[in-house]
Amino acid sequence: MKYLLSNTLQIIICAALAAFAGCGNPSHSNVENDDSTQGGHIRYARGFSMIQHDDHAEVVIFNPWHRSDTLGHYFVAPKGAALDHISDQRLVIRTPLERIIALSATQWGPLITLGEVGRIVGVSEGRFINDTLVRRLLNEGKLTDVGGEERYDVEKMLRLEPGVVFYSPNPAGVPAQLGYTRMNLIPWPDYLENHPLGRAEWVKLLGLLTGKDTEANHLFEHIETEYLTLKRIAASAKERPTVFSDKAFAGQWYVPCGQSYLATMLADAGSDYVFSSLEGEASVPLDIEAIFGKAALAQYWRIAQAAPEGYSYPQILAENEFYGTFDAFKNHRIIFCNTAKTAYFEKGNLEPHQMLADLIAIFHPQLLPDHQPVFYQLLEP
Amino acid sequence: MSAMILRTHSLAIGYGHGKLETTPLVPPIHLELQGPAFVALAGVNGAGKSTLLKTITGLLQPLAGEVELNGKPLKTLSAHEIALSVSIVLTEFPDDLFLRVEDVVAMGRYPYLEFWGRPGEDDRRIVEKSMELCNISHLKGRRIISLSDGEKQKTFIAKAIAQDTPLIVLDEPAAFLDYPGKLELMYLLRKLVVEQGKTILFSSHDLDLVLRHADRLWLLAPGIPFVEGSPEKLAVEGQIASFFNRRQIAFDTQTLHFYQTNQTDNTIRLAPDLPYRKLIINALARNGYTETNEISWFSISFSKPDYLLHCGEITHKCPDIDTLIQQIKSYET
Amino acid sequence: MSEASLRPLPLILLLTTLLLLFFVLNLFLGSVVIPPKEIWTVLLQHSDSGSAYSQIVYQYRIPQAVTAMLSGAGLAVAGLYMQTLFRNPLADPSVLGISSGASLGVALLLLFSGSAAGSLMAAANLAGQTSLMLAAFAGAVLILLFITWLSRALPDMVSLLIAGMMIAYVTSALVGIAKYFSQKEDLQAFVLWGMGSFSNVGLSRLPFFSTMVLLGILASFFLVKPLNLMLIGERYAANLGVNVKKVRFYSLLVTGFLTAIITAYAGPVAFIGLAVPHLARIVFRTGSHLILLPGCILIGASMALACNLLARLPGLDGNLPVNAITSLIGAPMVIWFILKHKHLFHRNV
Repeated sequence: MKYLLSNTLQIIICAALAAFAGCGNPSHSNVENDDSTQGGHIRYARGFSMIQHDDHAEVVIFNPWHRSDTLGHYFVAPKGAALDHISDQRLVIRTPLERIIALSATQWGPLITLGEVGRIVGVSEGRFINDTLVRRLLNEGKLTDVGGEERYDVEKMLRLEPGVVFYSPNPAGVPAQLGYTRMNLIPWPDYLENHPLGRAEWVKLLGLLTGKDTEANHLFEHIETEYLTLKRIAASAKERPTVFSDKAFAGQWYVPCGQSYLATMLADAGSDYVFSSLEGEASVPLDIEAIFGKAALAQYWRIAQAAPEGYSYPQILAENEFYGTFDAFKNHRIIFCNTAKTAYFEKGNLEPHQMLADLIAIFHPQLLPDHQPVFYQLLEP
Repeated sequence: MSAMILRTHSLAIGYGHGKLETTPLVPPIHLELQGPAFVALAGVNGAGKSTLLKTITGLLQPLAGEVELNGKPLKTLSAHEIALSVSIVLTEFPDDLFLRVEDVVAMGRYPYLEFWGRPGEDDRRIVEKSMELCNISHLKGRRIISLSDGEKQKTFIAKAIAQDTPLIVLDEPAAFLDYPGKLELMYLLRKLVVEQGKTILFSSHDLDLVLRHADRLWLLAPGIPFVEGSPEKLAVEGQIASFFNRRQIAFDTQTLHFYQTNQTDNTIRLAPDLPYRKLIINALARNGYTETNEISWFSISFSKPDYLLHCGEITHKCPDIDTLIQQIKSYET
Repeated sequence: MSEASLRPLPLILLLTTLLLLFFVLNLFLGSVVIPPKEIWTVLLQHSDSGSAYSQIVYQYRIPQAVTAMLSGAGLAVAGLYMQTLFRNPLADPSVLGISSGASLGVALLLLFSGSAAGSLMAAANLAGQTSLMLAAFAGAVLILLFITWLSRALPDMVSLLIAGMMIAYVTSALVGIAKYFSQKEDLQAFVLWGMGSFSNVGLSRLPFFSTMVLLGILASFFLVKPLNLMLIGERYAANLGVNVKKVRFYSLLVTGFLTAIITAYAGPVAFIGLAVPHLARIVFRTGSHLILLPGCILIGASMALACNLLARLPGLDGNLPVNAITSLIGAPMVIWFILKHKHLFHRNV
């Protein structure tokens, strides 16, 4: 539960660290912007490229904070295939991967969806995991909890004899304990994708690595079709209600910038994000008065938070009395996702269409009259 | 008009009140002080002078026994009542950057001021007068950290005067004054006794000063019972001699002087009518000669304009005291 | 060479005017640009009409300005009394470890609540801001009680000062351990709290906070006379009728209380408690608390308001942490002041 929230904040914090570079200048677009050359059929994700050759696939994972640099360069081929022409054999990854340690929910969630849960041997921060399947496997000892972020139990990891470890990179580099071992590490900066479909597209890489390419591609195409259909539906709405997002945290309110994941999704849902003019993909801390200045009259307020005991307007007000001054609060128009009760982090990446539908159903109820919310719904007063 | 200013009964002084088994510095003290009076507390260093003063002003708890101020037991007096009974002058000075002389003296009026501490007309007048008495009126706007030690001390004495208490207690006030300063201090303190009717109690290890100026002496020495009286009485009774009894130091009751006795006991007889007789005695004492009335080998007489030194059968003529002494010393081989 | 001390009344009037000026500026300037005429209209309404501008002024700017003013005044007073009590010009409200106690309270809360502000509130069913404030206050008060108890057991202020510093070290160490076991977000929350902020007190919390601080400042007036006497030394003060032990105790209580309440609501605000008493002494050329107390109140409040203003200048949509501003602006100012008045520090003049 805590971990699920931490993921969002992880995003925010890592992004905030690059805030000065992120906001204020137009985002330095990746060098390879051209669809056809960039990563072959990878169309939305900018964090990695995947080029299919005759006998192998060439995967490059880019440094999200410096797109012209790479975090990893791999040659992926099935077991048994000869790859003598690759000079550095250490860069070869044999598929399907066995004994995966997935340190983040956005990694093992899609694996479960692909039906590859059997390949996972280790996860992190088990106490915060809600997924019933994973919990059962942890209790049965079929999965091992290797510890919390920044303090992984490396010995436990080594004892699992993992074939590969997926980790979340940060600007400082590989987490210290992991770098000293000889485990195969693959960075997984999917959460830094600013396009909802870009995040989903990482399932293709998972598909490649587990030998489930076809299934992964089909899955993605389904997601893409649904998402784009919904986006078209939303675009047909005549009005675009105003909306803003998030809350203050220990006195600082991080506001997603105009090219961020959230801003993109809100725009695709047919709403007008009041901070869309802020340049950048990350979040930037603003003074609450400044936020009020822009968002006081916004019609909707989107909040995603872990609330195992449920959430309410009085609770929000008690957190910070300034929240009560916003129109969206006064009019009880808070769009809420309880990350402790929904699979926001585990399934969220692969269900952007679901999130989009939820949002459209709120912004334009007449467009999706029979919709059943999965992630987001209006918080009841 | 005399009043019982201070009285103690079986007073045992020392540090460590409340702790187990501390031996007091001196045997229990019984004393009575009637004012007005000019009293000096004398004793060698470490005898407990400061301790006694702190105990009778309430700054230190007695180990045993009682102190009465103005007829009331010290224990029962509130800080305010004590403030009206006794004021102190110590050897420590504050180092605040901004305090001025007049500020410090004005603090002496604190026990009389109302809640906010703003002085009234009367208080201001008393402060002025106190500064005048101590001859520091011209310094009143100066910051005390810029004064000399002597001036600082006068400031604090002025403050004690402004406090208008029947008893003023001073701890080693003469300690860092130069000689004229010491005399000035003694005259000032006496003036306070005579003109203002105050009782002054001060401590000093400078015995010469104390013997010459104080009306009464309190003598304090480790292990020896407390003794008090006028300098003359104590000298005649031999108290002073025994109080400062150290080997090779003797006390001359006639002159109230101490002198070393490690030199040979030579005697010399002096004619009664010698000019500057006292000076000659002093010079002789310095060189180890004491006066005697008995027949002795050396004797001095005067026959204008020379001193005559008789050594047995021989007589030397000495025009001045220096020659006299030299002549005597020439006999020491 | 005689040097008359400056007459205080004109200076007090001048400082009051300065204070009012900064207060008004804090109302008219902020991260949102509002035309002055609008603000004037809003103020004339005397209450929040619900419009956006009105809300900004009444819910955000007024509480912030009042909080800054009271915090600055309270801390300056606490600093002044600390310096007198300990006869140490480097003493400030944090010297007794009270703000460290507040930090410890916050650190422990963040550690044991398990997480960032979000699930903290959900799990513990406590509101984030309130629980932070309560934790800070609890930590501060605990240390304060310990210190006052110590002050009766220890013979003099120097030992108490050393004890206080040791307490500060211990609490810092405990905070370090708590930090070590905390998650990233909690660390960040703790760091952010530690930067100080005047904007966490909203209109609903303002009355309680103001009352408490004003009570503390009022109580401090009762100590003016005895503390003046302590300037020449505790022995002389005792001889002049001051109950030194009682004065010590109450001074500690008052300054500790002020520090605790302000740290609880605004975080540990640095620098004001240390520097303002010195500024006041230089401005008024006196050591008398009768003048320095109002002086510190005025200068402290003005300085806090000025720093708050700088932290939220329009055009700077973020807000800089208060502690950074107070030290950055304040320290050079003090140095300049000292240089300008260095003749006051010569001892032989």
